[in-house]
Formats: sequence, structure tokens, C-alpha cells
Amino acid sequence: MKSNVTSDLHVEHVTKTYPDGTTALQNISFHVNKGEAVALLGHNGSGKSTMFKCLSGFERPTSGSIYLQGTDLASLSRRSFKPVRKKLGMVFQHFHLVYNLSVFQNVLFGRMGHHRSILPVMAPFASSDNRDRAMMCLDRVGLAHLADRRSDQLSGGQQQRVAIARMLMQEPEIVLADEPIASLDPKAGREVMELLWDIVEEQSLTVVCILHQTEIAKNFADRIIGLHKGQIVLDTPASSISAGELDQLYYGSGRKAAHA
Amino acid sequence: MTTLTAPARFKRPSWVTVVTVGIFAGLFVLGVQHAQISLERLFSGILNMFGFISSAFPPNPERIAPISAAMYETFQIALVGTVIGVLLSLPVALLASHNTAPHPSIRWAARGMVSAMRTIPDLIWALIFVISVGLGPLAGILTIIVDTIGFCARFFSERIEEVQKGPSQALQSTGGGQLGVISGSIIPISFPSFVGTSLFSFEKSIRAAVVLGLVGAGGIGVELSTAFTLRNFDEALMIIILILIVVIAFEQLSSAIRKKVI
Repeated sequence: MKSNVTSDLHVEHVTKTYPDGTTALQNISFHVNKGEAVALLGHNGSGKSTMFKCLSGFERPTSGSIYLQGTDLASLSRRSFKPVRKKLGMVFQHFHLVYNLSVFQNVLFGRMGHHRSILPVMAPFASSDNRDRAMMCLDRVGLAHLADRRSDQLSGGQQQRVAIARMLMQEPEIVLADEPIASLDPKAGREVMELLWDIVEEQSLTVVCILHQTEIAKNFADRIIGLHKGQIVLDTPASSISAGELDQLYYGSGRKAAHA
Repeated sequence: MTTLTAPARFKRPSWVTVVTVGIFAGLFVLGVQHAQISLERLFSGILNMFGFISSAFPPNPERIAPISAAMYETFQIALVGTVIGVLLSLPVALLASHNTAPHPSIRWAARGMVSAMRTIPDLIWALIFVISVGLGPLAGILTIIVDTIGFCARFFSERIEEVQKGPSQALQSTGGGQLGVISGSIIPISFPSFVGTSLFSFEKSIRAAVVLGLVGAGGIGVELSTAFTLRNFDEALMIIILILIVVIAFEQLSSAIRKKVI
């Protein structure tokens, strides 16, 4: 695969073997173009989470390389990783808000990578520019009225929206989402997904989203990559994917889906 | 039908158990012999105790003003020592926790220091500080600082190590540095526990500061020691009552605050 100017994320022959001998990823290669939204599907143990950790730099692949806008992640030291992280906005399954701080403070933290010290992102000391920006981000996710609340007083769906506002505050170029709606009920999950997708479309961000729900993946993503036992078994545009292919990914061949 | 055998009612203990129990039993008997515990001595001890109580009653409030001043000094020693100790405990705890220490060797050094501070009893620290800075409240304050670090840094560090990875990871993923992650997620998440531990430590410090005076490190202990030496038992009782009142009052106050914070 050649390096592509329009490609934001380039995964080349990535293999990840853990010290206990389990191989989580086997020779994975794919690339994601600028502005493209890719859903990474697969059941538990398929290697999705390991892929997420490698993409976000929390784990290093055993072999192979990951290029983020042309920069090889493996070549970066812990210090030089920071400016790269700034470009990567992340949304997590369990929101990962600092639960006993205010919603507003959590959103402000999204700006941490833009400053050298922590003071400019602390609510009492933040510049009015940052404070206004945080309120705008909160307003975008529809939660400006809850800015002063303690984060753990919010519902799961609201907390995930705060996490999205925090991600917006960061002004990322690429969004990585790790099962963003897996711990939400179907209705809240759908709302969060719609919000997230509206935002990434508005700002034409590149997205890699790990998902469990095939239906949702089909509705939202441009492209679907299916993982099974650490290998890519599916890489198709979402529009041309058939229900059978998706079922096979989750239930193996010869078995009908019990539900959609 | 097969007959089912229940496990034996008693099992023979292993020889390690037998030897260990044997050694402890032997040491206990030797200890009792060494202290020369006899009914006679116990009996006269009870009589002496009655003697003390009868001459201590009623408590003598004559010197209440200097005693209160000394109690106030004890309180100051505890307060100043605890506040400084708590402030120093935070960086020490961060250096001693595996998720925040910059390097494993620093973590080991910090842990070793904290255990040494905790393991050496406060009266020994007080003796050391009395020798180095002289009699008076400064020696007491230094002792309480060391005592507080030994206690707080350990519990702070335990709390820090329990903090969930998620929020820190989220802040790290925004491009924040280690210091930002620590002050943005680890410290705020641990804060209620820090406050609880610090209040607890303050209660402990008041009790410790009371006895520090016995070795000359300032506060009410000096008065108590003098009263006993001069056999002014009625004044000693007054001092003990005052200590009780102050300690209980602060325990109540701090547990009320703790309940509110956590």
C-alpha cells in the first residue's frame, strides 16, 4: 500500500501479541481517508479494543506501523506523542469524565493539549476565550444549561454528550470512538450517535468508531471493517453491505441472526 | 449406595504450627515471670490506684489559666504540624504511587522514607527533634509533621493507586501532560478521601501532641509531667479532664466534617 495524500490514518501490517502469547491482531492493514467514517465491527475478543488502543497510542503494535497524517506513531517518544494526541479526539464507552468535577470543568479539560500548563483550563483561571468556547461546545451538545452540575449527577447519555463536548473543545482532526453507545440504552444511544455523526459531518472529521450494533454501523458509517480473531474479514462500503455478511461476522457461517 | 465419609473431625496440625505456638507460649510464660506479676503486687497496685484517685478528687481548677494556655499550645502544635504535614504528604504520595511516580527507583525511595517516618514512634522523633532544635513547641511541630507524612502519604498513595485509569486516559488523549493529568483527574478524584484522611490525621495529631510534652516538646504534656512529679494529683486530673474534653470535641467535629465531605 502506498502512502496516500488524502489518507489520514494508515495501518500497515499491524500485529499485536501480548506477553502471555495471545495474538490479538494479525497482520492488519487498512487506511482511512480524510473525512471518511469507518465502523470497526466484531464480537468480543475479535481484536477491536486492541486496535483502538494501538490507534490511540496507549499500546504499541508488536510489528507493523500506524501512520497518523503521515507520522509513524511507533517512532514517537512519550513526549513527542503529545502534539499528535491533540489531533486525536477520543470518545470512550464509559465516558471517562472526572466524575466529581463540574460539567463545565470537564469540557474545559478538552483544551489541555493547547496549553503548556494546567491553569488555563482550570475553571477559575481560564481565559474568557476558553470559557466561552467551552460553553459553545456544551451548547452544541445541548447541555449548556447543565454546565454547573457535578458530572456524575447526569444520566449516561448526558455524560457521553459532555464527553463529546470535551472532544469538540480539543478541536481534533480525527475522532476515535470506542463503543460510544455500548453502555447506554437504545434510545439514548441513538441520540448520542446522531449527535456525534452530525458533529463529525459538520466539521468533516475523519472517524474510526468501534461498534457492536450492526444496524447502527450500517446507518452511520461510510465503510465497515469487520474483525474476527484478529484478522480483517470484511472491508466494504456500508451502502453495499448485505445483511448476510454482517450476520456472518457475528454469528459465524450457517447461522441465522436471532435479531436484527 | 456408597458410604460417604465426612472429613475427619480434627486434623493434625503441621509441625510448623506446633513449633510456632510452642515458641509463643514459651515467650509468654517468660514474659509473665519477668514482670513478676503476683497477686500481692496486683493488690497493692489497686490500693495505690485508690490512693491516687482519692487524692485526685476533686480536680483542682486553681491553675486552669496556665493549663488552658498549655492545651492551646498543644492544639497549635497539632494544627500547624498537621497542615504542613498534609501539604508535604501530597507530593510525597505522588512520588510513591506506581501510577504517578516518574521512575520506579524514586517510588522506592519515597516509600522507604514514608515507612521509616511511620515505623519510628513519635516519641522517638520528639526526642531527636528536642535534641536538634531544643525544648519547646518547634520540636513538637516537627514531630507532628513527620508523623503526619508517615500516615497521610501512605493513605494518599493508596487512594491514588486506586484511581480508575479512564479519566486520566481521557485527559492524556486530549494532549495533556503528566502534570495536567495528575492535577486534572487524579487529585480531584482522590480529593474527598484526602480530606477524610487529613482530618483523621489531625485527630491523631492532637492525641500525639498531648504526650509529646512528656519529653519536652511543648504543650500540655509538660504540665502533666510536672503535676505527676510534684504529686499534685488533683491538678493532674484537671489536666486529664481538659485533654478528654478537647480530644473528644475535635473527634466529633472532624467526624461531622468527614461525613459531609465523603
